[in-house]
Amino acid sequence: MADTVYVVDNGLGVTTKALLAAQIGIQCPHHIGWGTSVTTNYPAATGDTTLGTERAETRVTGTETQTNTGGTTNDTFQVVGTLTAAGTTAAITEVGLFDSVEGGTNIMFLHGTFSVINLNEGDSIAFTIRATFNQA
Amino acid sequence: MTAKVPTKKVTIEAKVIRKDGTVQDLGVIAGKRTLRQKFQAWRLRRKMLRDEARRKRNG
Repeated sequence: MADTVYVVDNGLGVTTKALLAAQIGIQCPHHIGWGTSVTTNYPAATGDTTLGTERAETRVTGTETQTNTGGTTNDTFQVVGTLTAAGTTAAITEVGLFDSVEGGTNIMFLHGTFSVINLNEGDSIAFTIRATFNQA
Repeated sequence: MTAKVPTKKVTIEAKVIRKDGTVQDLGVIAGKRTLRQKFQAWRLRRKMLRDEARRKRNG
């Protein structure tokens, strides 16, 4: 008998559902922040705990859902939200998901970096961020 | 015995919404992408830069 163990397909749904709302002692990491770092934390790395240079705009609380992009029901945690450049132009190069709308003491769940997107004051970016889980 | 539940992939899609209401879809800008998605993102980004240059020229 082979020694095998899997988090079964429905277990993937449990994982993504746990991220949706305040459960098992964590807050939903659905707060989206953006930044302009091009050196210190660029590109994103697994050890990152903050954005490289977070912009001053208040993080936006995104809309979180479970969806299917990996072939299994509810295998994906998705957050959608829009941030707007306030007051100044912005050269956006990074985005992150946090468990708090406030900076400071909070947990960054995800960090992504990308080629610069230049914005004028009042321009926005609508982000759709997806994390898909599977069994090893 | 350990059961791993890794992330299979993480993707970030972006749409730039200009102040005048113009929407520029950049597609998947970060994360694991197929060659087709990478090409599409490159094409959309070039379009965004062209639109931006045109807007600046026209004031």
